[in-house]
Amino acid sequence: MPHAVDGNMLVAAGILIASYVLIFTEVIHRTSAAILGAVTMVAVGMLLGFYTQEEALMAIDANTILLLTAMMMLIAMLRPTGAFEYTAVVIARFSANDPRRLLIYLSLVVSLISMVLDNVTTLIVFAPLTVLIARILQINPMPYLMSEAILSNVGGASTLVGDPPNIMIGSAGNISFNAFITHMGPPIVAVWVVTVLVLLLMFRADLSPRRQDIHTQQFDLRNAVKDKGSLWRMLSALGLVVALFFSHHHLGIYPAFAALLGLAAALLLMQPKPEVLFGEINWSVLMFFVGLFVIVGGVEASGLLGLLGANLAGLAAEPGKLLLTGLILMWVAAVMSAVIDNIPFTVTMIPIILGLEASGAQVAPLWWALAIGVGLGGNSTHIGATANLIAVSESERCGIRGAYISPLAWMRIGIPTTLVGLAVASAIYTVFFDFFLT
Amino acid sequence: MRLMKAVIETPVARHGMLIGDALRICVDKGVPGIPFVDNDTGRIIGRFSVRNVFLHYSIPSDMIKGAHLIGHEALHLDLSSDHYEDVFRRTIDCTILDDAACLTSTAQITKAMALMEKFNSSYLFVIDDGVYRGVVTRLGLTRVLLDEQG
Repeated sequence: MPHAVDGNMLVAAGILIASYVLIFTEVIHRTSAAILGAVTMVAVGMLLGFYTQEEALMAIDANTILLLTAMMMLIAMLRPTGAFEYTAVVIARFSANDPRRLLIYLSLVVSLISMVLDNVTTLIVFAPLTVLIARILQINPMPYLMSEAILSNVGGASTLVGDPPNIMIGSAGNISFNAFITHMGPPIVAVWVVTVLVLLLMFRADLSPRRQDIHTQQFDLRNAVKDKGSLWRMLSALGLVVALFFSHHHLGIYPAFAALLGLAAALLLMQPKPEVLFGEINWSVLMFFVGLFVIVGGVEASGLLGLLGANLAGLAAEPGKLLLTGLILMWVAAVMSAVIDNIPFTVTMIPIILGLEASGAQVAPLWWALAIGVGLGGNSTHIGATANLIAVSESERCGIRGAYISPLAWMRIGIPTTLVGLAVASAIYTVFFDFFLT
Repeated sequence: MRLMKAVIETPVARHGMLIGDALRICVDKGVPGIPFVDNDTGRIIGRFSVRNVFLHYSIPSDMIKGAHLIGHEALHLDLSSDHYEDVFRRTIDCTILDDAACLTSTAQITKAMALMEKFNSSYLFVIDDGVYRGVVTRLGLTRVLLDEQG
């Protein structure tokens, strides 16, 4: 390994920075920017001799891409069954006249779904349903939309498959689904409870008990589920996926293969129209990830990230320093996730942490710190997470007075919520640091 | 020229016209939309659609997505007459769609039906040598076919 920065490293870093500037400034679409950066990295790397086509292909994390693809296809088949609509209407009827209960129930369900399914899709389905529920109940949908987005991000942070950064972290760190939920579950549950309390406090004016009665017949539950047979078949396939997630480590299979097994079962049971199913997959997101993997793979092949990891090894040399490094990483990741996309940050941090590991450092606590930071940090601004943007967009579109979530309104709620959540997570991380060493 | 039997002559919409006036034309003539023409050239550059007015101003997207979930006791969802009064006094310009499907009066009925399917529309504008002749609707074409059977 080189001991000093050389020309190839500088060129690779230059391409990475130029790509990220294009991605974050959105001069062109982020997927186009990632593909442009990836192609440039491979071409320049081949010319200068630090990167090959084979290395570029190897840099693409197939486990991440296939897992995301399989989950997208499963969601695409689940959505038309009406499962989400049924759940939302049951919650609305169950919470009766209490807006606070409605907020807790809706957020809880969205969080639980986000633990297994993509939280962006969950929000795409739940946000318009939430506005409709609020419209029928004659209440402001704003607190509900914000809470759902924030708590879906929190919920998604608790599992290996809940958030794309977690999939990448789990794949790079060879972390099983069970290990992920065991380590991330307790701090995330604590953060979730505290976040709900903060949200209830901050939205107390909008959540005062209602005076008039709500008639349950304002919602038509009979039409919610479009096809009971399809719903049960999809729930069976998803049940299989979840069971395989919990046991994939014992079975010696990748999470992606677990998801693909469930997908195969779903395809067999549902027999969907291919043109409809494949049209529902978010190819743009998948290609964005592929581009990022290739770009960062080039920087790694240049030796820069390994050198950076070796130089940072001292930071993780002893438990005291490791704890501090973990806390710094958590908060830096949170700040970065608030202002830029957390995916590029995660993809860049992964080889650095792997470099630390190669230098002999104990990196397990850093994986958890990174997962907590990128998972919670996005909540502080409306651009910090895609789920937030969906909530904002729905609040703008609904045309209900007082519902619009401005960037400032988001930060007024998001920043304190995130700070409290990070403080709770940091406290748990510090007190139970030995637990995070494995 | 069987198509001409179904043509409904209508005025056209222009820049600055009020939504209420354009809707009145559509209602009086029984057509779902009318052409929107450029004030200077007289060329058709879009269409005014009744459906699009309601999509734009009166039917929230969340209600469309969840229409099947709204129960029969949800009795407060209609917008007020003040809202509609405000909408009808606005100009049509921001409701105009730029995809105006047209055909000539010599076109066959089957082609007209096919064009309606292609453009997911229930009406088309008939133009001969750049001159607007009127609107044909699916119902109008059906009436022609029924009348021919006696």
